[in-house]
Amino acid sequence: MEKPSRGSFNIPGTVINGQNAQLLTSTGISSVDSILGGGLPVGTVTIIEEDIYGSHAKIMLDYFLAEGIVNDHSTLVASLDMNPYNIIKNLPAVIHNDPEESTISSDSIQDDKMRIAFRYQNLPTSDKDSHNIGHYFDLSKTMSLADIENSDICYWNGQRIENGTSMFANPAYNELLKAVKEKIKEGKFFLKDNPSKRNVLRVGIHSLGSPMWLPSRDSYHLMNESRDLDMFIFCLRALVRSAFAVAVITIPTHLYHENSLDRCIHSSDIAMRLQTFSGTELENNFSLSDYHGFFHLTKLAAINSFASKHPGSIEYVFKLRRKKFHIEKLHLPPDLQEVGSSNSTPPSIACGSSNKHLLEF
Amino acid sequence: MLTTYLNTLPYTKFVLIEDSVTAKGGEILEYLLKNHENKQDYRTHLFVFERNFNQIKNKHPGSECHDFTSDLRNWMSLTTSDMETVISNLEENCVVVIDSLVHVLYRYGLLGAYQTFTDIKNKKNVQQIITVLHTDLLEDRDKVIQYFQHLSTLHMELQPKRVLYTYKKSQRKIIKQLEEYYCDSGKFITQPIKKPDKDVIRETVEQINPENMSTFKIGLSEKDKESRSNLVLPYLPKETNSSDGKIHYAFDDIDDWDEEDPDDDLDI
Repeated sequence: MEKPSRGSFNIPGTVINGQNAQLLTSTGISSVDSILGGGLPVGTVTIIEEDIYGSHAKIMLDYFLAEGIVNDHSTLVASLDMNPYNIIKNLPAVIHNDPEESTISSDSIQDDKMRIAFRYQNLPTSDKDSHNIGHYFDLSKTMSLADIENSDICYWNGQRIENGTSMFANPAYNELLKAVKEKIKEGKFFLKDNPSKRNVLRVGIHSLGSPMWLPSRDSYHLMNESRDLDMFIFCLRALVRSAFAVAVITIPTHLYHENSLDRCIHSSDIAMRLQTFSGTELENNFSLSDYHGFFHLTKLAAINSFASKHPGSIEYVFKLRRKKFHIEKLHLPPDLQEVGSSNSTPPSIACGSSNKHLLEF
Repeated sequence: MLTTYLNTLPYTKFVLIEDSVTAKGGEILEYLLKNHENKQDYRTHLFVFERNFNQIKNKHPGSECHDFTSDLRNWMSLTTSDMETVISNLEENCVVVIDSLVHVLYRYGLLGAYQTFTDIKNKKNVQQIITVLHTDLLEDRDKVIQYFQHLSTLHMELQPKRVLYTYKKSQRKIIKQLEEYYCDSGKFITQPIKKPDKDVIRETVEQINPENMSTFKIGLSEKDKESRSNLVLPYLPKETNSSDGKIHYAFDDIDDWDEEDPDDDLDI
């Protein structure tokens, strides 16, 4: 990745991280941006492991694409499972304020002051970044068609696939790589290019490696036996690294074996996983009832630096409201009487139990 | 309840019935088909891959049947239907029933079958797709089931007398339940599994008296119990009233008697 010097170019929707000179762009979700240390570095490939029913990962992809359109970035959308035009058509609409902010703040205004833990009085309830580069979106509304028509969007649905010789078992992978390369070339996004106005290309690939990407039409091969997926991610990363482009891919990884999954994560820069509660035992868990699933940050590569910004062993959860998708740290609720009443016996010291034993001294 | 999920409008897009020899799904498919045939506002297309085509056609006059049994490979040059053309010709509102998925897999391969179903699922005018997957005919069972489960919106796994279903209600809500089912004169009826009442179990357990079941006596009568409690076993210390001797100790002058119990701190 090229180290951009400060202020050398001014691309809307991006910001330069002073510490390691990364050019960052927003994922569209402010809480994800802050976990990633400001945003997605331009020139990286992010993979999102879909939850079993795929819907939440799609929403994250929607945010990423919508953010690009609002910032006038160029966009390439690809999917074999659904029409990419429908993905763009149903992107959330941009709004000026955080949609749920007003309700949250009204809830949290409590007049009674903390008397003992007064130091925590002014602590914010959720992490807020003072300099937010992203926009806010309303999931209940869709983006206006005028905005979509005015932006540079390239759709790829695998319609014209030539059966040429390539290293991939399914030629669709090769075609998609070619399409990305064409787009980068055509829009002059390569680092060596010198366009009049610098811009960023956002590549969004929905449900890559789903059964639609199975090896070939008549063979009975299974996905695990082919190396298509991780090879594709590796090649895409090489392509994106050499350009002003950033890619987000969602993958239905629950259909894959762990080994092939590890290879994919290895070939990516940022890997995250969504794990929904619905349909599992966790659905009925008392302390998780406010949330819809776990958000795991599997990998956060150290780019232009030695240390990854990976937050360590913090557990994150996601919540999907009517208008907003949100990620926050998982705080277990205080252990109050209702929950703890089952084990009412107080803990005792090892050598001296409360009811005296005959031989105890 | 499964039947309400099946019948709510708008119809759930892709119903996948997983059956096997031990729990056959034919009756359920028949029920769903009959349900759709009675509706006026859309056509029902039946893709026949098994059994005798003419019999099935006569049995279902209300639906449009497509023959895939007579000349599947087009060896006899009969002008039978080709799946792709039939699907691309689906224009008006319709329901697609495919019997069965395994044959589509055999004919078009896994990728082809998956692509076909994705195509149909993405068509706006198709109200619902219903298909049966005979799981014991599959080569790589788990994987194929997994892929089609991924695509389905209502997935029913039939077990003998029970059905485990997963219903993707919307993007956010998933319902997963195990219910009992039975088919009664063409109707498909499901009900939640009844757990036996605890009180009933206790009562029945109490009613079973082992005394009446054996040819010999098991219990004890009151008299037996009394005599048992009065029995003094030989190793137990006997209570003796006769006081033959006692130790009387007179203190000497030099005796230094400690009032305290020397073992006091032992807390025995």
